[in-house]
This record gives sequence, C-alpha cells and structure tokens, in this order.
Amino acid sequence: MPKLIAHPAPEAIIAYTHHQALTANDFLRDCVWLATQLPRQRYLLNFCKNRYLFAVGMGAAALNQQTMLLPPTYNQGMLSQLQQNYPDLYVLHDQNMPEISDFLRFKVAYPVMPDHPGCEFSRDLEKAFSVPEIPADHVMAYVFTSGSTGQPVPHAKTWGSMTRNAQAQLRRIGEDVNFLNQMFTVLATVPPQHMYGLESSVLIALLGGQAFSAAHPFFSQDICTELERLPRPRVLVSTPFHLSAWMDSGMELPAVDLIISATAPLSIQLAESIEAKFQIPVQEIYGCTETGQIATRLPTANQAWQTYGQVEIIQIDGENDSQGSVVAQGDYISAPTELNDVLEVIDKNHFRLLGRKVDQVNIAGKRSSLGYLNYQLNSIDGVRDGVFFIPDTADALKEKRGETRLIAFVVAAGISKADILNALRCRIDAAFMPRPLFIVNELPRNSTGKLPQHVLAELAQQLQAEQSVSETQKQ
Amino acid sequence: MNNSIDNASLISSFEREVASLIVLTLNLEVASDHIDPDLPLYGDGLGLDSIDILELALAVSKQYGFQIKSDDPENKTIFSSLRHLAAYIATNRTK
Repeated sequence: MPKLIAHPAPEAIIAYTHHQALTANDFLRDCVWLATQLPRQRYLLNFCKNRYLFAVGMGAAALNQQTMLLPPTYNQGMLSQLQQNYPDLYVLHDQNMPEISDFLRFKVAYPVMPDHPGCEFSRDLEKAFSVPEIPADHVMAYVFTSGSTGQPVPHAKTWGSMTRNAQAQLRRIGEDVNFLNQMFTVLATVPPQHMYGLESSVLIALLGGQAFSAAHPFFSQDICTELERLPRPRVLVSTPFHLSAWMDSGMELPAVDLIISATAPLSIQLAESIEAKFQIPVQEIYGCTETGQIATRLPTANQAWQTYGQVEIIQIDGENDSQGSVVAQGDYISAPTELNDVLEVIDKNHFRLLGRKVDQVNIAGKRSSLGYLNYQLNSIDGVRDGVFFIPDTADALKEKRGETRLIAFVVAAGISKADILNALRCRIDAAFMPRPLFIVNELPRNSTGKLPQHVLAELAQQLQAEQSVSETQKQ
Repeated sequence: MNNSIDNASLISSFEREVASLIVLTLNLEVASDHIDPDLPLYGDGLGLDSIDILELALAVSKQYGFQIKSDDPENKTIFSSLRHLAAYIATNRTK
C-alpha cells in the first residue's frame, strides 16, 4: 500500500507556514489526531484555505477512509446539488463561512493538535516514526466536471493513481532541472481544491518528500513576500494569468529555480521573458480534471508535448464530417478518456495542442462547456430563450493572459437584466458570467433553429456598437 | 432610488477618479458615476471576480506607485467597496 508521505525522516521539513517550518512528524501527528476528531460522515468538502490545513484534512480523511468532493465551483447551486447527491457530507474549513450555514461542519485551526506535552497520545506518536499507508484503491477524491445537463459529473481519484501520477511528475521535473537531489520548496498561486493545485503543490510535496508553502499568494507583492520566506531551490507553481501580472508588476522579483505553468496556454513571449530574467526553465503542464496532468513541455524549446510515464494518446477517427477525437489512456488513467481539446497526435507519447473544441470554454483555468452554461441560463424562470457566445478577442493583453469574457443574448419575459444576472450568479462560476448580457427581442435562429457562430458574432458587434454610441452621447 | 442619489452626492472626487480607473481598466458596462460607493465590488455588487481584481491591482500599482498586498487571496476588505478601495489607495499611494 502506498504511504501517505515519502519523507525519509521525522525531522524532514514538509511545510512552511508564516512563522515556522513543520516537519514530517508534525504533519503525521496532526493527521492522526485530526482523524480522531472529524465527523464520521463518508464525504467531505475540504474548504481549508491554508494549504497545510488542507493537506492535514486530506490526510486525516484518508485515514478515516473518507472521500473529498472537489467541485469546479463553490456557488450556492453547486453546493446544494452536492448536498442532495451526497447527503452523507460535511464541510471541513479553517475560516468562517456564513454562506454554507446548513452544512454539518468542522473547523480546523492551527495548531491542529492542542499542545499538551504530557498527553499520552502525543507520547505514543513520538516513540516511532511510522508513516501510515493508504489502500491504493481508496478513493481520495471525487473531482467534478460541470457536465452538460446541469448535473456535476464525478471522476474518482484513488490514492494509487494519485501516487503514480505524482511520481511521474517528479521524474519529469528531474529531467528538466538539476536540483532534484536536493529538497525543494513549492509555492503555488493556485488553490489545492483545483486538480492542478492539488497535484502540483500538495501531492508533489507529500509524495516526493518535498516541502510546500501553506500560503496561497495572489497579488504580485504576496508572491514576492512568500518566495523570500522559502529556502531554495524554489518552485513557483502558477498560471499564465498570475505570471504575466507578476512579470509586469515592475517589482524586484526574488530568485526562483523552476516555474511551472498550467490552466491556459502560456505565450511563448512570456515564457521567453521569464527564462531570460531568471535563467531557469519554464515547464508547462497539460491535463484536465478527468485525467489529471498527462503531459509537459518546455515551451521555448519544443512546441510538442510529451506524455508522462506510460500514458498514451490515441487518435480516434470521426464518422463522416466529424473531426474525430483524441483519447488519453494507460498508466494512472483509470479508463480511456476523451480530451476536450483539438490535438494533433505526433506519436503515442507526443502531440501538439491546436486549440479548444468549439463547445469548450476555459477562462482563468476554469473549464465549462457552452452546453452547460446555456442549460443553466435557460433554466432561469423568465428566460424564454438564451445563448452564450465566445467572442474572438482582439485584445492582445487579455489573449496573453488567457482570459476572454463571454457574451450572452437573452429573450426575457417579465424579468430584468439584473434579475437574470443575479440568478446566473447562483448557478455558474463568476469567471463565466457574461460581460455583457444583451436583452434582445429574439435570437437570430436559422431555419433549422440553430444559431450559427458568425451570426452571433455580427449581432454582438452591432449591439456593442449601439451601446458605445449611447454611452458617448451620455457624456 | 433616493438612496443612490444621496450616495452619489456624497462621493468624493478621488472616489470618482478610482471609479473611472475601474471602469476603464475592466471595460465595464456600467458608467463610472453609476457605481454605488458603498456596494461590494465583488459578487452581487459590481460583479467583479478574481481576474478583475488582479487586473485592477496591476493598474493601481502603475497609476499610484504602490503594490496591493494581502495574505489571503479571499481578503475582501480592500475591495469590499469603492469607498474602501479609494481610502486604501489614498493612504498608500506614492504618486
């Protein structure tokens, strides 16, 4: 059975909080103690913002054979759906959360185990450094995609697959840098509740015998402050969006030894400017919620992606006019999984990423589909007909950061624009909120009832032009 | 309705300046003089999300010469309203 952590000795550092370094022994003691305190429910939502507390929560839950639910978004609609589908559910959190008042909850704070030096429990743990093992087939988490019918779709992540995945990632990092024989420290600007953040901060550290920062820096200044607190070699795990703001901040940036980026394509210019500034590699990861991470590349060296370990990608030919699809399989991927992007397969371990599929939306690392968003929009009382549209962005800066905003057209019956926006906010993630939302008399459906993209593009252009004329007249 | 008129009349010229920076930086649909200075910039108020907040922080650092920081990305105090943001900028600006 795979162990919970790979640290070789009790005094090995596993995490850094603001004020101290925590050892493998601290972590295990906290996990074992918390496991005795947690509610006995089968499922939990791990809301902990502090990455150390999140990891302890994950470890304690695993010891209790509990499973974390990791939804794509945490708005009210999603939470009540989860509560309905998984009634045996509690919330683990480290901050006050008034918005989830009707959940059974358990609050964890630091220090996790109350400090009683004479306590029998504590003495027992100090006697021997024994790392707990977790069954390889234990489902650590269900990670959800939003699905297209309004029901979130669960994807099981077992401890065995997480372990193999992390080991593949560590081997690949070892090929790209020369410091793998030392302990490194990971700082991530992405939350551990997201698959990428979970794999590349918490799991890589626990399963690689490395250390992670408990922080989740957001502003450029925060990234600098947190980096300076950490010993080198330092690995910064981030996104094109955070990295581009950080590089543009004009600040004195502390040394970094490897930068890992995922969630959206990293522009070659940004990768080159990072490499020139720090003289370090920038590694890009490709993956999705369904499969976890499956491939990497060094974007300045090679446009092609190389899969991890025994993961293979296979082109499946489409029927008639369909473009077919690409499936990932093998190694830690439990079943062949269709990828939601358009890929050119070079061979079973290499591919080029050509773009997203027409129906897919990816904003700031959050994925959804137009099908799902349209379903949610049309489920609002008073929306007679409505559609989301992905505009071609002409804005170079937004393109560089991987953030386009969606547009929505709505035929409303007795409901205001503000009401529609409020209702939508409860149903979809903020990243997908339309900006703008246009109220129209009817949608430009063709004779077969379809809404061709170019017709929606023309309508958007026309309505935006009208709007900017009326704004100018106001001034 | 009366409320928003009262609020609008109480808005300072610096708050108006910051409101205009928000609208210009984020290409918002709303006119800067229609932003209620006491409503949250996040979520139900102006509807900004974390992409906007990071974009806005970058614009603030360029325009006013200081870096916005928080130990917690969910720290909503600074962005809890136009008034809070303007006051925070006024205290920390170097240009």
